[in-house]
Amino acid sequence: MKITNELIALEKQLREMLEALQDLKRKAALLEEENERLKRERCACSEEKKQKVEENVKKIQNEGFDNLARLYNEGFHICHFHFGQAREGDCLFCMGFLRKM
Amino acid sequence: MKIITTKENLLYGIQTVQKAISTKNTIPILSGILLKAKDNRLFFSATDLEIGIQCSVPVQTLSEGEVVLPARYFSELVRKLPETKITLEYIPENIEVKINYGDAEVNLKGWPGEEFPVIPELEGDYSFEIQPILLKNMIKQTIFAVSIDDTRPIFTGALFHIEEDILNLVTTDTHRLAWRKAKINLLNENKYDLNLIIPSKTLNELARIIKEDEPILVKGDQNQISFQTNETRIISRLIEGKFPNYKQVIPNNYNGLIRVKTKTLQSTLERASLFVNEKDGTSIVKLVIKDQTLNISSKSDVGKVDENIPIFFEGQEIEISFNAKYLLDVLKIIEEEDLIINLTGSLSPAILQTANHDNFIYLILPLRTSA
Repeated sequence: MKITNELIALEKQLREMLEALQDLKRKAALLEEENERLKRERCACSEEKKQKVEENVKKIQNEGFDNLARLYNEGFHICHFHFGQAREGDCLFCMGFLRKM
Repeated sequence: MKIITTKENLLYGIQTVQKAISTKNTIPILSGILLKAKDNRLFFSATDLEIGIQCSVPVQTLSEGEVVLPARYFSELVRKLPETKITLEYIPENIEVKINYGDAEVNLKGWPGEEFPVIPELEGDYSFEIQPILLKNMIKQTIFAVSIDDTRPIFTGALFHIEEDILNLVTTDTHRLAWRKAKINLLNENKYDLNLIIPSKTLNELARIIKEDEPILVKGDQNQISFQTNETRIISRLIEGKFPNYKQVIPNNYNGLIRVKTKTLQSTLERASLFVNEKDGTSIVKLVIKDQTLNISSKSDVGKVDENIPIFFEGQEIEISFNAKYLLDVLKIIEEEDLIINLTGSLSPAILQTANHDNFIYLILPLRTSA
């Protein structure tokens, strides 16, 4: 009798676990669907929005370039080895860096 | 230790290792040369703990052993010895070496050999072989562009950038850059992408002492590197730090190409460089490139030079000034008859290459002149 009771208890546990697993499967499917929708939404930005973002990036980059070029022309290194240190003559690595920007 | 040898062999050993002898007085034994007699060879070792050099010469060994002798006295003495059979015998009781030649005897105090630091045998994360002539040329073609400014240690050394079986040797002082590449013989299956910065002193010594014809075995880890042939071994620490991406500074687009006779340009620049700026010692040369003529001029309070050289030129007319020394340094090591100079603007780098080879590139920044 004792073994039968234990088996019944185990069966109950397994059933509960199966239900929990099915519940998790449903939730995972919902999350995947939501993820897909969000991805689609993100890609479907309006042209106007995209242009605005791109312009903003350009503006920030230009400002960064102007600031670095000014700093270099004022006589300081802008390459990461000696950033901010006073330079004597031109530096290949600063100029290479400005060219790549 | 007791050996019979010649003045020539002793001098060869001393001269090979002498640049590794410490000039600082902090550890007295490092001002000495370790002599070790074994298997009818005499091994010379010296180190200042930054660089270590070992070499060996054939001798007649009567008994094996080792001793450290003060380099200054030992080398001066050997230079003054007569050309005759020389016997060296270590007397452990007095920690001295008895040197016999003809009827004469000199006693020189030293240190016990065991007290000399061991110059390690490197196992090596990497290993490759290279022909000595090739490596010597590579060093000669790049070493002049290293920086002498100790506040920026990475530029006082030369970069060994190993990409698979290509060795790129790069030096720069940030105003100019020399880059020589060559194929090496890898000794294992590893695909390398290694960046090692080697002190210029090590490479100068290597170029000076490597004479043998057999390939040089190069191996090491991220802290040390060794170069060895049958008779000689140099081991050196590496300079810590990250060398900049040298490929990034090479311009891709040019707006002018000059083809000129190397020696003609060199002679003209040598004359022009006579007129040195008294203030900072630099000699500025102005190059005006127009039609198929290169005009080179320089002036100082003392006088001026103005010369025209016929060239082949493609591109826009340009005026550009350089430090004459930076141009002459590279012209001195170029053996090819024709030189190609690619220009990118009067304020941007010029690229010098030989006409027939693409394994050497020299980048030089122009000077900004007020005139």
